[in-house]
Amino acid sequence: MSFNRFAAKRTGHGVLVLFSVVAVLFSIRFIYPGDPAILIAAPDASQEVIQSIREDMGLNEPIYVQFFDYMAGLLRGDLGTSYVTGTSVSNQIVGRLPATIELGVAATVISIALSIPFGVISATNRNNRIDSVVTISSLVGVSTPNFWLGIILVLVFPVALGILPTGGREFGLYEAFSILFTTGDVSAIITWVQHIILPAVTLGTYYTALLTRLTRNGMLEELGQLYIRASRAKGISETLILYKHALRNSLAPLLTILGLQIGRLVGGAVVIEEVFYWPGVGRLFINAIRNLDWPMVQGTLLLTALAIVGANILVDISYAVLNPEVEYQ
Amino acid sequence: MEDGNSEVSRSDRRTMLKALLSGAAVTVAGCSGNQGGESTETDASDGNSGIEQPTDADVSDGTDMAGTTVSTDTGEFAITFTQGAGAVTLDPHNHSTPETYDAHAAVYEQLLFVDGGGDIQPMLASDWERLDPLRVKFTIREGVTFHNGDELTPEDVRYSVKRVADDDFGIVSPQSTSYRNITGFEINEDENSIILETEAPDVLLVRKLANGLPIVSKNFVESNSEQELATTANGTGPFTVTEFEEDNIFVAERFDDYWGWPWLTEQGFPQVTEFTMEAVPESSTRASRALAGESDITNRIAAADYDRLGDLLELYQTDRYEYMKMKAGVEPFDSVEVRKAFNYAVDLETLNETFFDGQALLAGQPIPPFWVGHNEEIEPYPFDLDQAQELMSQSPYASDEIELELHTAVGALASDLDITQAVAGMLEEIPNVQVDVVERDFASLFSTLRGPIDGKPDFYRSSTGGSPGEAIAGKLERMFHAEGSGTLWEDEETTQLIDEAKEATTIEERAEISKEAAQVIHDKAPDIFLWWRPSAIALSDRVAYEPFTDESFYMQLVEDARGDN
Repeated sequence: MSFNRFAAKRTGHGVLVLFSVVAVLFSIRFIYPGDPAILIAAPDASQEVIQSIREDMGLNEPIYVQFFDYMAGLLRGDLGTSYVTGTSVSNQIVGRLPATIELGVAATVISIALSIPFGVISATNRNNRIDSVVTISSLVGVSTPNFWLGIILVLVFPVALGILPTGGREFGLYEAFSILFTTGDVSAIITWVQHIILPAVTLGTYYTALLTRLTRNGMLEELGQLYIRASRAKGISETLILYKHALRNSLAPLLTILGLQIGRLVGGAVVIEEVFYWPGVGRLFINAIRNLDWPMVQGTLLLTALAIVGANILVDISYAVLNPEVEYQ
Repeated sequence: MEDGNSEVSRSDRRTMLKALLSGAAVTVAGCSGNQGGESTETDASDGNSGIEQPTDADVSDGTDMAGTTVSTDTGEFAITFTQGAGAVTLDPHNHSTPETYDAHAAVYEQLLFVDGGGDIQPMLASDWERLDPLRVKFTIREGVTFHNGDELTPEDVRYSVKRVADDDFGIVSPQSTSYRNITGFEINEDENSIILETEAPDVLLVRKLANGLPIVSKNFVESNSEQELATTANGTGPFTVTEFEEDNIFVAERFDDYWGWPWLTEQGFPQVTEFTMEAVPESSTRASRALAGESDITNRIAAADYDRLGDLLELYQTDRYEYMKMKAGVEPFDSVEVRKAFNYAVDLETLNETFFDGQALLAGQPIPPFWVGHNEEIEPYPFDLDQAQELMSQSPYASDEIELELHTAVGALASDLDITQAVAGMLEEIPNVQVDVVERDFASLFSTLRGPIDGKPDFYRSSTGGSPGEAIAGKLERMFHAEGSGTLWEDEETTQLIDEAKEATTIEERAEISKEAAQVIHDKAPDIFLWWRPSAIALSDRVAYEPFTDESFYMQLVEDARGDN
C-alpha cells in the first residue's frame, strides 16, 4: 500500500470515529436526567416560563429533527449556541483553545525536557544510587493524583513562599510576544511564564515520570544490542553511541506513547484548569456539564475527540515514516 | 498582608495592552499620514464593554500610551473579587445565575432597591405611588444617563419591563415569572413617569421591582443583536464594563458621568474605582488566593478553609433556609405524626456545632428572622428522641418497617453529603426507620425538584435563598402553596392563608397572615426544619464590606479600609 493510500485510509477511519462520537454524544443528552430549561430559569420560575424556555431553545422538537439540525450545523462549522451564555459555542471554544493548547504544549515540553535526560542518566547508571532515585521518583510521579499535586503546589509556592501566582492567565503567549515585539518589554513574557509554570508542572508530572521510565527501558534495551557493542569496539565515543544511536532508536516507542496519551493529557487539563482557574476548554466543559449546556458539552467533547483521533493518525503516519520496517497497512 | 498581586499584575497587563494598542495606533497613524498623535483609543470611548478602553484610571504607571508622562491619580482604589463562578452574559435579562447578578449589580440599576435591612429604597424611580390595586405609578429620575450617553426615559422602563415579561418581545427571559402579570403601561412624558398595570391585583409588585428587573436602553438593545448584547453592556450604574469573558473574568471601572445615587454614599459615588471579578471554581484555590493577597473579597469559602484563613474570615448570617422536604401526600409522610417525629429526632444543636461552629440560626419555620412575616414565637423543634418515638407509635405506621431514600445533591453546598448522612443516622434512631442516602448530581436533582410534583423524590434535602425580604413574596408561595413550584404538599389551610396574604394591601396585614401561615407550617411539619445557613467570605485588610443576607454582592458598597485615603 502506498503512503498516500495509507494516510487516506487512516483519515477515513478517523472521520468515521468522529461521526460515531457525535451520534453517541447526541444520544446521551436524551438519556441523561435533567432539563436544561429548568436550570436556566430563575428559581421562582413557573412551569409556563420553563415551557417557554424549552420552546425557545428548540428542546420540544423531535429528537431526529434536533439531530439533523445539529449535523447540518456541524457541516457548516456551526456548533450551535450555548444555552447558558447565548453566544456561539464555536466562538467560545476558539477563544479558550489557545489557553488549553499552551498548557498542553508547556506540560509536554517540560515532560520531554526532563524525562529524556533522566531516562538516559538512569539507564547509564543502572542499579546504582542515581538509578534508584530516578526510578523511585518516577514511580511517585506516576502515582500522584495531579489534582492533589496542584493544590499542594499552590499551598507551597504562592501561599507559603509568596512566589508565583495561584493561577489564572494574564496573557496568552501570542499576546505576550506581540507586546515584546511591539514595545520591547519582556515583562509580559515573564508574567506568562509565572502563570503557566505551576499548572504545566502539575499536568506534566505524570508524563515526565512515565516517559522517564520508558526512556530508561528503551535505552537499556538498545544498549544491550549488538550494534552498540560493535560501535564501542570500533572506538566510537560513548556520547555519540548514547545520543546518536541508542537514544534515537529508543524514541519511536516514545512517540507512540505520547500520541496515545493525548486523551489523558486533555482529561488531566480539565482538572488542572479547575484547580488553577486556567481559562481553557476544560473549564468550559466542566461548567457545561454542571448546567446541562448540551451544545457546549458536545462542542468541547467533539474537539477532544478530534484532538485524540488527529494525534493518533499523526502518530501512525510518523511511526511509519520513522520506522521503514513498518508497512503501510 | 500584601496588596493584591493579581491586581498589580492585571494593572500591568492593561498598561501593556494599551502600549500594544498604542503601537498599533501609531503604526496605523503613520500609514495613514496622521502625524497629529491623537489617540484613536480616546475617540473610541463610547461606553461599550468588551473592548479595552483607556481612561485616566488605567494610566497607573505614570505613562500614557504614547509614552508621555502624566500625573498619577492617587485616589485609585482597585479591588479584586473572587467568586466560585463567573458572569455568563452581559445581557441583564437573559440569565439567572447569582454570580451574573453580582456582576450586573454594579453596572445596571433598577427602579427600586431592597437595602440590607430589607427596606425599599428609590433608585431610578425617584418616587412611587400605588394608585389602586392594579396600578402603580413610578416617577423616573431625571438627569440619569446610560453609559453610552443616552438619557433614561420612561420609554426605556416600559421597554425593559416588556423585554422581561413578554416572551414575544425579543427574548424569553428566565426572570419573567414575577413580571408576567404586568400588561399595561401608561407613560406621562410631562411628569416623566410611567404607570405599570397588572392584569390582577398584585400587592407585591413594588417589592418584586425592587428585587430585580434592570433597566436597559431601548435604543441600545434594538440596535444590537442578541449575541452582541451578551457581550456588551450599557447600564446606568456606577461602573462600566471594560473587560469580559464568559464565566471567567469581569472588569469594570467607575463611570465618571454617573448620576450619583444618594443612598450609596454621601456623594453618591462608590469608593472603588475599578474592580475585577474573577472566577475560581476550586474552593481551596479561592482560599489560597485570599491568603496570597491576590483577592480583596473572596466568596464561597468552604468550612475546610476556615481555620487557615484566620482573621481574613468573616462569617455572616444569610436567609438561605435549609430543610429536608417530605412529600406529604405519600406514605409514610401523609401522617403528620411521622413528619413531626422526624423533626424531634434531629439533633439540630449537635449538627450546628459540628458543621457550622454553632453559627447557623436554627429554624422552626421557613421565614428568616429578618423578613416581614417571621413568627418570633415559633421555636425550632427540640431534640427529643422519646417524643419522636411516642409520635411514631401514634402514627398509622407504628408497626411498619419504614424504608426511605433521602436524596441529596452533592457539591451544591458545603458539607452536603455529610449533613445528610448525619440526619439519616439520627432518623434511624427511631427503631422502625431505615434511611438510605441517595447522592444525586446537582443538575439532575435540581431540575427534577423544579419540575412537576410527580417527578420529585418523596424525601430530599435542599435549600432556598433569595432576596424578597417578605415571606409571601419569597418562600411561602413558592414552597407551601398548593400550586407553588417548590411545593410537595397540597394543604388547604396553608394555601388559603397564602392567598389571603397575597390580597392584603398593607404590609402589616400581610405580616400577620404570614405569621399565621408559618405557625400552621410549623405545626404540620411538611419539612424537617434545619437552619438558616451562615456563609463565609474572606476580606483583605484593604476593604470593608457588610455582606447582605441574600448573599448578593455590591461592589459599589465596598469601602476603602487602607486608612490613608
